[in-house]
Amino acid sequence: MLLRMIQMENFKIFYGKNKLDFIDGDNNVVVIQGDNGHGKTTIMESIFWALYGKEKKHDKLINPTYSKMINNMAQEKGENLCAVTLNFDHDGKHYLLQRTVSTKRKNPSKNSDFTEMVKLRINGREETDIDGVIAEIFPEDIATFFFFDGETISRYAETYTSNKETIEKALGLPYLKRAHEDAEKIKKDVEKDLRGVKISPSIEKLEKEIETQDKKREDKAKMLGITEKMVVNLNTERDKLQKALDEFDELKAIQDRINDLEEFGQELDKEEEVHGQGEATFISAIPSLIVRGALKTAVEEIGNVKEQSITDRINQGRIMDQKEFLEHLITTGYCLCGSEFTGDSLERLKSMTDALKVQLDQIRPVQTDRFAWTQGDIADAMFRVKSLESEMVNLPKLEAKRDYIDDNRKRITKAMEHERENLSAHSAANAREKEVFDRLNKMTQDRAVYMSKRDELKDELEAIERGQLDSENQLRKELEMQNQDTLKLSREIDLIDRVLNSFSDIIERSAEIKRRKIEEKGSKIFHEITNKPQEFVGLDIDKETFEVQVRGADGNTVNTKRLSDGEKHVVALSFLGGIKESTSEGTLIMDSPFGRLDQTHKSRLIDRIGDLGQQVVLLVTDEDLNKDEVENMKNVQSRYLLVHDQAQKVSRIVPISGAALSPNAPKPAEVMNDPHLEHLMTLMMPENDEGKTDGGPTPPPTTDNSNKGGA
Amino acid sequence: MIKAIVDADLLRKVCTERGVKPDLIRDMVSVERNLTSKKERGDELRKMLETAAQEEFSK
Repeated sequence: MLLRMIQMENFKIFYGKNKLDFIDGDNNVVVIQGDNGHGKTTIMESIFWALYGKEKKHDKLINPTYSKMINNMAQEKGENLCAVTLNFDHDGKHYLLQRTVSTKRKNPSKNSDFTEMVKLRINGREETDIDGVIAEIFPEDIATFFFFDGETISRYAETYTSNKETIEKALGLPYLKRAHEDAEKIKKDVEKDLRGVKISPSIEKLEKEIETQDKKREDKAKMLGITEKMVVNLNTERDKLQKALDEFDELKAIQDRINDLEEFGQELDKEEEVHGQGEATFISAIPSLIVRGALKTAVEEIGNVKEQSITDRINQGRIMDQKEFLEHLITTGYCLCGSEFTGDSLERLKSMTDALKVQLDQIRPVQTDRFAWTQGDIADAMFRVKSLESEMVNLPKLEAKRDYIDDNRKRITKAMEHERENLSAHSAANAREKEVFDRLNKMTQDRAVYMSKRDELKDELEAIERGQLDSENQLRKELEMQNQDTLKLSREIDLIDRVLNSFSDIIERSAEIKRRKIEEKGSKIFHEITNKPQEFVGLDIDKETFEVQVRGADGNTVNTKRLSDGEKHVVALSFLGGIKESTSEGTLIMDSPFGRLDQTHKSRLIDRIGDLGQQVVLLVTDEDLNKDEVENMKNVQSRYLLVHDQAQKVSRIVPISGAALSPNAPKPAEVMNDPHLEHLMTLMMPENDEGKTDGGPTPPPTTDNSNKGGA
Repeated sequence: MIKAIVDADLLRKVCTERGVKPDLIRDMVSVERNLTSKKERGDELRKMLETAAQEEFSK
């Protein structure tokens, strides 16, 4: 950052517009002379305030007190606005920075009574991220090393222990370290998030759900397996029982066949009975054939008997008729003629009746027995003979039938024997038939139950599997999302690791690089300024502690306690100059830098002052630099004098010589037109009405500093 | 700021070695400089790192 102009308007001790101009050229030193209390430090403060909105107190920047910022005289005149404008170049661009603070209140006291505004234009274009731009090009931490006063130098000269912090600050290491720490914290947060992703409640819930479903599925599958096994066992058992039943069916078949055989046998029996009768008849006729001769005789005898019998029957009838007639005559006592029988006649009749009775008795028995026997036997014999004669014709049929009957009887007998053997073999199972039937029935029922249960279990299992599939799909999606999150976080962690390593590398390497540069540049400055260039060859900055020591010609470091205050002052100045040169080009502003230097060192520093920076602004008193020293100083571009009005207690900057008086010097800057600021002022008008006794708000003064105050 | 303080070549070299965009480091340091609140810094840096990680992935 190379300053081109500083303009203060009603800033603290300076009333109206007061400016310092800086121009390019071979001469790069601007000397501002002023007694103590005339505004040297205020110039430094104006720069800090313009850049950072803060006031410098020692090496720290603090928030300003606005009521003390606006020049008292200006306030008395109702000019309740102060502004600092910086023109500077950086990295080939022109910057116009203006910070203002104003109030419309009559008796402002608190900062809230004021309005602070800041404007920045880069190459004429308004910039909104003002703090960001300033922090980028000229961070406040290093500003204290470029804009420093004698007090700072003395402190560095006394306490080298702050050097490490100083160097680190100059390098921006605290920010790098803090960035490293913050990145580490972020890494922990990301790692925590990563762990959090893994135990995402939704995933955990789904996993538990799936686990539960899995257990249910396993239970159901196990139950289904058992049930299916039961069904299979029941099927097997059923097959066995069915087979057993088949065996019973076989038994039935045997029994049926036996029954059939028996039935057939019975039919055969009937046939045989019929056939047997025929045979019997035939056989019975056989004796008749044998007694056929006798039968013939008998038939003849029967004929004879029949004839005798007929005769007898005729005789018997006649005798009976005679007897019945005689008995009738006896009963009536009269003859057919009507005559009455006499005693003799009766007696004779009676005797005749008796004789007839005797005769009749003699005839009847013989004739009946003989007739009955003969008649029966002969009739029988004759029938047999006749049958035999007829059967003889059917004898071959009878014989064939007999063969048929006998053959079938034999077959039936044989089959019966076989079937009965089978039946006998199945007799044991036969006893279990009912039990088997019962078992089979129960088994069938059980099987039906188990099959129903199996189907039910299958349905349940399918439902569970479907649910599980849904859950798994959902989980998969969640996991994919989680994986994306995990992947995202893992990538983030990977990047953070690289960033952390980068910061570590940058901190380590840049610290060393800068240490060397500061050491080199500081040594050069020191060697040029020290009054013992033969004895002291340069500065030595410790790698670990960053402690600054003087390196002797013998190569050893010199104990700083051996150094005089002036020498320490030179070391501090050299160190600060080293930092400045090794970190950034631009303006170096030093307020009373010669405090503890002896004349030799001072002279050497004055001779080299222009080498300390691209542009050097010296704020000095007459005691710091006398007239001769100033006039003999090399590379002086401009000289300014701080003129103080004791009566009005205001100071102004008066150009003495050089570029400040050049017609090419920049004109005083105006307060940038800011509609927002105007708007704010308008809003504050009602309260400001009280202050209108002073004629209301006064426009910012535009007069040149030469018109203000008096010397 | 880091541009002014840390050697540009060093930053480029380190970032190349570590596979990090120099702008990310610059932006992170800028956040460190501009934000004093630890939480605000953390939030902002986290966003930066997330974005940078996503940009790396989307390449």
